[in-house]
Amino acid sequence: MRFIRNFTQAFFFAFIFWTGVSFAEESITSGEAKEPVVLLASEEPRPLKLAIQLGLDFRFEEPVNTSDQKDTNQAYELGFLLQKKNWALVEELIYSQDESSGGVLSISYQALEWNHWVQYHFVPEKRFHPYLGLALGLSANEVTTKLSGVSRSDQSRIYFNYAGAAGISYRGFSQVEFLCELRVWKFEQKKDPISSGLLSVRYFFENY
Amino acid sequence: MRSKNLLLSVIGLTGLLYLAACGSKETPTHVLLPEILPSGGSTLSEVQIQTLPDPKVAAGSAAVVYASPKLTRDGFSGDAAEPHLSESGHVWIPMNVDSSAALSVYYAFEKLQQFESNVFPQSMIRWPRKVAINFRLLDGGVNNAFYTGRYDVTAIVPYNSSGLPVAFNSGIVAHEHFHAHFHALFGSGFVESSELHLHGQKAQASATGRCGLDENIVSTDKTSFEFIRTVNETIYRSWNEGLADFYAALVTGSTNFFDESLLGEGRRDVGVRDFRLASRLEFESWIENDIEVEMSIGRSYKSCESLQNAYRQGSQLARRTYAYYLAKYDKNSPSFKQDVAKDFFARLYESQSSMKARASSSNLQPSWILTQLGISENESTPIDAAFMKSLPLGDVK
Repeated sequence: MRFIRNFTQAFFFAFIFWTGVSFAEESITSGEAKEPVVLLASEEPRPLKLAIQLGLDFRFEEPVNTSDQKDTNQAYELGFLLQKKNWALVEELIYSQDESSGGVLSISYQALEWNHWVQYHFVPEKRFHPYLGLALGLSANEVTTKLSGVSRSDQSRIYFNYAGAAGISYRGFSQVEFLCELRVWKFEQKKDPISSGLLSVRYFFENY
Repeated sequence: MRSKNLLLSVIGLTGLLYLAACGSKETPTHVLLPEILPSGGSTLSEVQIQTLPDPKVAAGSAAVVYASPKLTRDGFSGDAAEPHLSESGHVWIPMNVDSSAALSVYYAFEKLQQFESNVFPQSMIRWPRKVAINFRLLDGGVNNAFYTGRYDVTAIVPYNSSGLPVAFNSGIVAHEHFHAHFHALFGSGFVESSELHLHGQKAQASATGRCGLDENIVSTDKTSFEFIRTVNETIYRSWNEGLADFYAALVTGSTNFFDESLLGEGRRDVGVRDFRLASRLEFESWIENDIEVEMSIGRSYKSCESLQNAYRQGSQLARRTYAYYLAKYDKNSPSFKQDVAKDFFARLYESQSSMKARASSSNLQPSWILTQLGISENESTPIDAAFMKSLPLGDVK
């Protein structure tokens, strides 16, 4: 719990700091316009940028809400991004699974989510820049319950998901960005929101 | 043109999925839970929980279930457990073992509440019951459950054995629940030195540090008030455990429900034909031995002979009571359980004052409880052998 709280606080302050720094730099350069921003060749703004991203979403939740016991489940992320200036659309697929057992009983599930993100990137031409995002998505899962060797699988209905995110992007190479994002999810099938931390790598296609 | 068609296809597919998400809302009416079978073993069943307004919160008129809470002066801390569930047609599917355990415990208490509203209207316990799953003992004890009258709560501790976890064993839940009735009926007369009913002498000793004995008792003088009270409390403990075993076997229809979880090789099987009850003299000698051992080597679960034997005597009482009611009522009658439970609770209710009056008696006999239930005290085997062989023990519906 302490780790999650510290991580969240550190992320929040880092996000505020970078947003402030980015805006300050932007207002200085745009207000006085004494020296034009020097962009590298690879940083020249294109009208539309396309990228693919892979990541891990670490979800902090309890096996039963209100329990003192906490779990961190990791979900695997695959995303496609279309970006025009400050705005980006991300189509994201997330796969997660988990298993719990006690004696002769074991319960496992596999879940697939499809999320549509809208992101606003502050000063995206900067190597280090913050962004905010909102998502609407769908999810479904399959739960397998095994008791004394007898197994049964149940397919869920399709649920809605909603999410908000704040992240920091770092351009490590000319076509590669590293993302660190804090998310808050509301899954229709879960009573309370859950938080997660996404770490992902984004690759921009050069010749799109 | 191609990219426009692709975009339209993606938008169309997305729209269809969203329509499906909007249109597929059928509110489930059942929950998938493991249940023990009267004939032994367990199965997955789609059960209907009637008193739970929202299955995503394990709190209703029957029970409030907490997940790994802390026990405070006011009872369990925190809010009711919120299970993670998935909707599949008409069934809620628990997404992990803890979620399933929370609802399974709730369901067990709902069945007990419904059953007892008919058979024991004079009941003095309060609903909803407060129950914990995954309750963590300070010594890290596992595979157990207890009821404590001091806080009027029931707790199930973590499970790491290879059977059915205790939270899914409605027999053990019913057993613990019966302790609440016993405490409400007789607790003010016989207040045991340990109200914490952990099963097994090792668990009890390590949790309470005194293996069921009053910590102030140091004398083996059989005429002293402390010694007499300790003997009576140990007898009371054997009654409490034995009648709880009997009641759980009655409501579940499974005589050997403990073994589904605790793998005890039938040691507490209520259907076994062994009825001998120990005398008061034997109880006195067990306690005398425990005091002497504790005085010489310090408190240790190895010295809890009296507690161990209290459980054994409890099993004997449960077997005798079970056989008595099988002989008294028609086991094939649809109202068998109700008839037996009404008779059983009515007799316990009527015996309150006479039992309390004997709390300090120096000649309270372990078999005295039998007379209160209408069972002959002197017969060692109340039912003849031929009749016993014909009984379908363990298969009572």
